[in-house]
Amino acid sequence: MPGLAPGEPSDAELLRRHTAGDASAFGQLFTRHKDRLWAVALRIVCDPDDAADALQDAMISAFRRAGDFRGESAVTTWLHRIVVNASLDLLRRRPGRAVSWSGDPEELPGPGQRAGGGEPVHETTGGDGTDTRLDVDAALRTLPPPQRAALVLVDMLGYPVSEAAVLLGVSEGTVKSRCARSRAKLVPHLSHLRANLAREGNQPVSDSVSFEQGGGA
Amino acid sequence: MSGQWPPDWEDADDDVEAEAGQADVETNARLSEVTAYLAALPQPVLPEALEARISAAIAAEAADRAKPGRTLGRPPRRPKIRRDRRFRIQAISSAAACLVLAGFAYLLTQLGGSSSSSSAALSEGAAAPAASAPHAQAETPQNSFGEATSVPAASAVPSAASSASAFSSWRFTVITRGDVYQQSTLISQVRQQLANGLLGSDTASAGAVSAPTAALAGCVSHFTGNTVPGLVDKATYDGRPVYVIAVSSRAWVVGRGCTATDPELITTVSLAGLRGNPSALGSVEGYAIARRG
Repeated sequence: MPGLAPGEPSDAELLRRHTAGDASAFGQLFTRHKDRLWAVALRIVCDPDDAADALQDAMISAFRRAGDFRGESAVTTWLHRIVVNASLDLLRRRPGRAVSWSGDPEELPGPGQRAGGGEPVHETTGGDGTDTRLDVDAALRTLPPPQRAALVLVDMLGYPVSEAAVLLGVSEGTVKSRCARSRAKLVPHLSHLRANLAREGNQPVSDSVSFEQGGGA
Repeated sequence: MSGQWPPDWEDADDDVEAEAGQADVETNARLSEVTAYLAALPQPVLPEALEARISAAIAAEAADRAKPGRTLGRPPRRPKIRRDRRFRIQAISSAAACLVLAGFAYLLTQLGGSSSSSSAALSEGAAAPAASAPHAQAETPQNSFGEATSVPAASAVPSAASSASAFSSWRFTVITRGDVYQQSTLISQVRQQLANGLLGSDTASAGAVSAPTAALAGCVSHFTGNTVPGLVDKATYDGRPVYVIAVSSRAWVVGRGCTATDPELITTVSLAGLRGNPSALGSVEGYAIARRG
């Protein structure tokens, strides 16, 4: 969380005010962390509509359960865990979006194709005029949700393995294992994306993120 | 947690050390690239429409909690929040746009006839503005009515879940006639306003009514939930520019910048004790709504 401005209440204070009856405190808490929470939901669920449902369900749940927060973790950790659980719960209730994939990149859902129907969500780079749509979601959807969640938290959102383990309610070893498996499954798809990036003159990815962040392969 | 997952979600998580030891240099390099690539992807930003939708849901929850007897420990049962599919957004947006346009058309109709028959309009108790009053300060919505169709889609109809509150928020009007409220007489003033009704007595001839801005609609919904307010008055309170919002049992005084997420609450009072005794309203506290200029 970025530093607070002088006089700005902490997350814990906002939550305390909320439980004390302040009608606006929880809204402020949501506004403060909305983008991060959205990223968690969107990357895990891989569908903007479902992610919106998951995030909304999570926020209402957190609103109602604020009195149960014991302060044993940071408020943000508590909020993120609720979002993670809401996202996985939603995926559990709405099966059928997972994609089985042999590992052959030719079999990956192409741009414009979604496992569960709907419209594609892709990132477009212009470059030389050839749009290269980097449908990361398509690759992520090939992962079982538990693996996906671990990969999203550690590799995409930068959580330490230890905190991801708390958020997912599993051991650190399990998080490392899931990340490793997920990376291995994504390698063929990533090669395709990296080739497109290179053609468009983008900088190749660097090793700025320690491989140990998510555990060894 | 994993024990509750579908079978095809399960994986063997116990052999990570063995896997790590078996990976060769080339494999490790490729896996490193995966990590670095994913980390380099831009973070998604919550779209404004979704932020508005979820903020409205939170505000509705807060309003629900504010009702007597409701606590965090025993949350009220409320309808399941419905999903926000695109076609639903379009359908609700269309309905809300029609509502706004119909309301505007009605206002125009009333405006056209008010110069010659304002008393008749008042007698009907309709939402008839009389913007021609010399000191009327009609509120201008943030969006012109030419753009009004997009307003509900972006704010008042963030989700089917909050559509009820959003719908109700567009069913109220804002009166602007320079009312001056004071702390010592706030309760009696508001009660008198409610007793008169938004359009009672000389409201229309002395001021103006207008549609609320999207921000104000969210503000009102924040406090009243799905209850249509009996009063939304653009006024002053102890010299401060405010909105005075009231339902039958409670009134809120909020800053002019009030929104669903930043309500700027100045004070709130219960009106329950005075219900049914309108005769006592003005006399006890020397009630009178002063008029500006």
